[in-house]
Amino acid sequence: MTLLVELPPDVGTVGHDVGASHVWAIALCALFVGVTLAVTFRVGGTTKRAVDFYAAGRGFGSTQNGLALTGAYLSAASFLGIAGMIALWGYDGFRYSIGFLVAWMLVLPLAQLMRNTGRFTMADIPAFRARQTRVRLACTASTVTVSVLYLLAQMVGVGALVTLLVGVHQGGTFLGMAAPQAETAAIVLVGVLMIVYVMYGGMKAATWLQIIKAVLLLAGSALMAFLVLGLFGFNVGDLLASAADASGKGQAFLEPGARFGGDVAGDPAQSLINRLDLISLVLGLVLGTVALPHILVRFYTVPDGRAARASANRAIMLIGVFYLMTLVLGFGAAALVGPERIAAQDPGGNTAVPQLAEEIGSLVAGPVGGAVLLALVSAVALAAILAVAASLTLASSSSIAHDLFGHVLMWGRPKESQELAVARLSAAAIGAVAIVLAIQARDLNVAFLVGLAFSVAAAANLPVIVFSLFWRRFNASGVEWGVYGGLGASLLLMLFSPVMSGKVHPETGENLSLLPEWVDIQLFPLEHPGLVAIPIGFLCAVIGTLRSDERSTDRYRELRVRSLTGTGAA
Amino acid sequence: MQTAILIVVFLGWYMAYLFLSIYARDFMGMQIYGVINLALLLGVGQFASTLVLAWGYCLYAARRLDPLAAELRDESAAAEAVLNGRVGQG
Repeated sequence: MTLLVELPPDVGTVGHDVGASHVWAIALCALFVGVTLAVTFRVGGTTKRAVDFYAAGRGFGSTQNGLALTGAYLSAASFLGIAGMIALWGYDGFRYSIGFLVAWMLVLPLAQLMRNTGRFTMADIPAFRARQTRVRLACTASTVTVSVLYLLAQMVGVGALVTLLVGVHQGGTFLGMAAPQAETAAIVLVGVLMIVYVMYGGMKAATWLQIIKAVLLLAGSALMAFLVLGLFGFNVGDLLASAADASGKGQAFLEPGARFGGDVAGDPAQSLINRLDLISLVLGLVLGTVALPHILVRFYTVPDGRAARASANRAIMLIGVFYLMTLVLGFGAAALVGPERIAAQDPGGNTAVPQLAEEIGSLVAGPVGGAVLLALVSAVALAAILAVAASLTLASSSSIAHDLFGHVLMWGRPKESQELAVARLSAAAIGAVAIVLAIQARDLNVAFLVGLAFSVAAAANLPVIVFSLFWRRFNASGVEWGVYGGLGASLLLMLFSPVMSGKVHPETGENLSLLPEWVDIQLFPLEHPGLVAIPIGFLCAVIGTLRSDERSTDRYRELRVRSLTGTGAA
Repeated sequence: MQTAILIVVFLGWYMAYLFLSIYARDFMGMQIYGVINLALLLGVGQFASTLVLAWGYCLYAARRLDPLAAELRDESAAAEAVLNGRVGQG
């Protein structure tokens, strides 16, 4: 069997020395998987109680959890996607990354309160005051929806990433597989691995996976950013000037408006829609982050509220530094590789960093350097997807086992061993469903799913978290209305948006929507539902609360004390 | 309360940046030093302000909030002892 990819010489692949790079990439990926599996089986032996599986025995320190939060938050889209957008669109790609960081300023003050109030899942927060099974049911519904939407985006991304990195999308073969087989194989492999991590090691394995991945991601980016800056004599002005030159757009490359919220000449309505769409996207990102279940449950892995706050602070530092490095990588790719070569490889720009890796590797240490650096980037990207996918699987299986099985089906009195068995089984089931769906959706552009997941989190989960912590009058009816209102509004608006139907290319008339051309149910002009769905979610939570006479003033007072002081917190 | 003010101020600062980058392109394109323009400076400024504020919040919380929480904890522990009330959670 040969590892070499057979490509016609005129096809512009990532590398000229592709074969060597593949050997390195496979070796590095295998090393990562081997190390993380070894860790999983080591900690799997000590995962016996519920608190081990859901919350890693609450034994992680704040620096460890800060790294793990960074790992859980930064997916391959942050690494490859944002740097790629910067390489292709200049300043607008950077503007996109700012929203991802700013969102953490909401996480920081809430981290301690959420940690002190809950035990294992998001539902613990509202259920502290309103101990009804319907509260648990509603929270399970939104947790699983958010996690599975996000998971699906990751899994489809795996397929695209692997074919892009090994170059088979341009008609070559890899280990005798053409693109569709290679995609399916990659999806199945990643799916099976994430099931194994979660089933055997629970939160302990997931946390170590995130930590290892975050260290790899930060170290890899730092190395590349250092090399890029070194090539420009550590002069940022030179780097920006060459990027602007190479882009062909000149100074406009360094100014906002190339990609998002841009004006459409002679069409003020469309210009307004573009601007509202950008605001809608940003609103979903900024308000959704704090309510993402797989981020929220990470705060339960530290011993107390103070450690939760400190870990959010560490995560902000790491994520901020990371996005600044992507700025260097993105402009570096624009300057050294050039937007034309990047767009020729992938119009979305996802190959900008791999191409840059090869370019600077070759400049610094010849063909071997290029191959090694490209392989390193590939391994980091795969690790990034794998870690995020595992934490999403864990968040949804925890909610199914703890909320749905433990509190709804077993009336809050399950045997611990039973609940754990359900958690492991549901991890396998969710993983299997995600594999099947991802293979079905392999050829679709599912990038919108990430934005949708953030929007659902902001519209359905955020009202429940905020009102549970700060509104005396809030009750079970409010939880139900808020969750189902926000969830329903996000999904319906998405169904009627240009993403689903009615969007055509202005020049070629090509159908750019997900549904076939003859279906046109577009009623909502924005591609991101956040701007409308989030207010609906909050409004529904208020209406639902006021419709019911139920009050929980005593429990609320207790919650306030506990959330601030940690007295009696798990 | 101070925390709420902090969040509002910070989100306002971010929204101001966002709206400037949407509606005041010419202003944002103003070149300050070589190729470095106002948009880049403000963008990096958003990063810097986030990092500084996060760090500052943690210092503030450790100095002011934690002692307050400790006081409250002692008070409620005394009250708990009298009531012999519930501590654990179901």
